[in-house]
Amino acid sequence: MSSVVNDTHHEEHPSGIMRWITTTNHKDIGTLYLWFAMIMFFIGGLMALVIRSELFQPGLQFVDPQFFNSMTTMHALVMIFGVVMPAFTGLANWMIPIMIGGPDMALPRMNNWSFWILPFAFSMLLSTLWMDGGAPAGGWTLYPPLSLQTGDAFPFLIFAIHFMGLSSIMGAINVVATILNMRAPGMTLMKMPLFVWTWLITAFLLIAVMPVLAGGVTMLLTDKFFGTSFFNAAGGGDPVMFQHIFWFFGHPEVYILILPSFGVVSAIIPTFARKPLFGYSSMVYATASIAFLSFIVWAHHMFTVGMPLAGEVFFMFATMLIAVPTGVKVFNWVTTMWKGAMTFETPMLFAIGFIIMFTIGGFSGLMLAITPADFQYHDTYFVVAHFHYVLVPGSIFAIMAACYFWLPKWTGNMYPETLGKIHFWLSTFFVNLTFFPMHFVGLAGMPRRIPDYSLQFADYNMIASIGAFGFGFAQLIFLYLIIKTIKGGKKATDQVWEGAEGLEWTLSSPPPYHSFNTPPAIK
Amino acid sequence: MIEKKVNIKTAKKLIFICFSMFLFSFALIPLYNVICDVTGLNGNTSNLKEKSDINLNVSNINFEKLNVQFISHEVNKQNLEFKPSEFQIEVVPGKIYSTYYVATNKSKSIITGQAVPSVSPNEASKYLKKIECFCFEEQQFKPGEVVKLPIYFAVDEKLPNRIKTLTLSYSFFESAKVSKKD
Amino acid sequence: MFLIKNLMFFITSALLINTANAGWLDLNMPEGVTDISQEVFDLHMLILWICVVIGVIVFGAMFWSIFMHRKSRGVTPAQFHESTSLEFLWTVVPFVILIGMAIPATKTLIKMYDHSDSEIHIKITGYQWLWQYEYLNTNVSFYSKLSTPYNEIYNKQEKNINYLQEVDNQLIVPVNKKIRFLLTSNDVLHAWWVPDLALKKDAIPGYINEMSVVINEPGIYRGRCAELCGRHHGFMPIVIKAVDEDEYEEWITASEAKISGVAKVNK
Ligand SMILES: [Cu+2]
Repeated sequence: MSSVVNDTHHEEHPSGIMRWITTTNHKDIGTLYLWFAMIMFFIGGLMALVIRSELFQPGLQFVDPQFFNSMTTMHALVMIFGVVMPAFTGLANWMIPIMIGGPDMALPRMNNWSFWILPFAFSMLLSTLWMDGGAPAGGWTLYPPLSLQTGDAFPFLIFAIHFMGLSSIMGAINVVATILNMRAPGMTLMKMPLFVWTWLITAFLLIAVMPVLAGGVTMLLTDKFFGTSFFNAAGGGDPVMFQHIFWFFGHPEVYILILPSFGVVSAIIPTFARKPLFGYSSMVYATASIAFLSFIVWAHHMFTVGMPLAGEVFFMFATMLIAVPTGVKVFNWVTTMWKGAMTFETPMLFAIGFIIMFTIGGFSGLMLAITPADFQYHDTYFVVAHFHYVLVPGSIFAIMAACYFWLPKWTGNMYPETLGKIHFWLSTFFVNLTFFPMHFVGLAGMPRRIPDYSLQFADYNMIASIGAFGFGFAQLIFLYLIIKTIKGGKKATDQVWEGAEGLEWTLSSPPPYHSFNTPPAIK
Repeated sequence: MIEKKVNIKTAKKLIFICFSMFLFSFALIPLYNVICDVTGLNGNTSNLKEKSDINLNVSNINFEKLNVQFISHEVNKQNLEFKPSEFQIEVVPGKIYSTYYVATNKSKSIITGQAVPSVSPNEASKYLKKIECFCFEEQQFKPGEVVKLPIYFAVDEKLPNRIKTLTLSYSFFESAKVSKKD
Repeated sequence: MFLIKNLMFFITSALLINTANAGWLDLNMPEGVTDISQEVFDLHMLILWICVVIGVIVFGAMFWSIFMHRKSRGVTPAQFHESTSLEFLWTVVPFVILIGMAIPATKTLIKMYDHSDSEIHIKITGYQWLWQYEYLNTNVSFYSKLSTPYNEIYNKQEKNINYLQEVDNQLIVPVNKKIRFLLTSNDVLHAWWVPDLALKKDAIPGYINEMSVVINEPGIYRGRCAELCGRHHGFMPIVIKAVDEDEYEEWITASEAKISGVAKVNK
């Protein structure tokens, strides 16, 4: 998105494709990450549409059940590791050095590697679609023994996950080093924008849990090919052990996917309310306590594996506790809006949409925490509805809000406002049409990950499928809008938004190739 | 360039955390077993696979009686029939009891393998003490052979009161399926 | 426009179908036919309503703000950004509400974990992709798998009302007696789930899990495998038929006699 940046500068860097391959510039790498996420978003979306087509009506119409399972598995892996995580890393690359008044990321060479690993990892993952035995179909959670039944794709799956993990660990190390060492003089930790704060905490989570996932999948690999029995009862292992390891990674991972969006929303709401963020320090503490709690709640994903009573009760209580800091955040956002002077440009719309729909996802999350009720919800469409509410109108909406918010800064051009608003309203309508009915079919007894269902679930599945197609097509507007804005449009001012505060708005739009060669003065 | 050094130092620290967490993921397995031993979480069966030397004091016979049930899971029913001789026995905690399973090799070849135990409710597994069990070592059955496989066991007196029924289950896995090394 | 037209059509037709056949209540969790399933339902509704009330308050405040505090109304923004008492309040109040939810939830959970005084013990084994039921202490044991014909699945024949939730051999149990299920699996993970009984637990190869139930009303209850178990995960339903005690005794005696009869003939 920065392709128009910098014709006036006398920076030396290769042009054409080599510029992008060899770049160590934080903005270039940020742009690469964001485009990568965009491409993966459409690939993962296409997989979702295969799923929704098959589920449009009862009966098997389009795909084989095995391929259906591959689609659910790959859709999840692509959306989590290929869309949300790279998009946030892209935003981090673009914005963190600017927000803290630094010249670039701390470790530019590593920054380049951490991006370029990703296309390799995903080529490897996607190539499994054409392999003998099909793509991985055991769910993105990779539970053994089922995941060990994967065909030729298995080692490719594991190594792809290793590479994705490596990429995000390197990205996280870079973020931490940047935030700790590259701040402009006077930029104390408690003066940092919340986006920087949430990313700092996210980066620590990544560094702590991605290696655990790597360890878990390595054990799967040795179980399959080298005769170990970590998870095999016949050899003295325990299949449930994998679930413990996986969710020890997996639950912090859930917060990795959502914390940066808290940062984005905390930047947008005050801007358009023209009023400072309410409760800055409690926001920081709330984020930190969510991150801490995320390490002691993992087994709420496994209430039905048959844990002893004491275990179930402990994980229920710990999980319910998370509602407290999360609630604090929502209350703070609403209070920030209270008595402001709001306008509703597209970024604000997406941010408000985020708060409402993320909270709905939070409510269903609270319901899922109640162990006896979870026995009914577990592995049904109720869960699917829950995590899609926190991930699609949650994380994805926050990413879109961020794109609209900073696009004028990145490109120097204003995006077409009406089109942005159309994109928002279509997305919001269709996202609810897709995921709200899933609560009902889940409660009525439809398990997740099934290619065909009994007749009582038919109507709501049809509605969900229509919603999914609508949502998918609405995203083409987003793509068109971004390309159009990069190519030209009304020139953006440096300030861009009336109420905008922060170092990024002191730079020109688009900003110079190197952000702050001389550190800015901090108020 | 002082800045660069600082960055590399930070990166080194973070990489160290990464490696420790990678090792920690493997350490989770023994750690988990330790936690399970202490809490009886998730039916940790390590104690079921080895001989316990317990000091049984039968001093207090006023314990409520409880039921111990025996079931089996035949992984490959066509080749090996593997069944408990009795479904349920009434026991008093602290006393030693014995029962046996019967294995019948219905195939035309030698079957080698091992029985893997599991107890429900799983928090009870650490209170079921085995003095002798066929599951401690690998078994071999000649074609057509019918073998009685004995167990000697006792239920620990510390078993929580609310547990009134224990079920001991064995799944017999053939060696081809049992990994050679773990 | 085409899309929107179609959409309206589908939504209205869906609504019509629903009100015609089943009614909106079928979209909620079933109340079920056991004391515990009723408790679970009540818990579910309790938390749902708590969430609704909190939602109404929070979103109400937000929408009020959206309508009243907009720049186009010519307001000047306030500049407050902190209030210790307010922040303290909305940390403590949710905490208290959570405790209010946790107490009944824990009580129900303790009841769910009480398997004492069970009279009938049934072992359930998951296979890719069918279930095996063994009535322990009898010789009755059978497999239960999907009986929906392929023609219905592949849309060559009209689907019957129990499409994908019918089996060849139903699990038959008595009402008003405590039944204890022992669960295991032969291959991969499965989960045995019957919503009306509020029972769901994973079947894990090499390990056994247990759960128990007292069914209050005779009837046929349908469930399905709830843990991804491979290609036919969506095609391994559960059908359980609860009958009067006498009828159950008759059935189990007859089945035992039939099986031992078959065994004798084979010898
Ligand atoms: Cu299954």
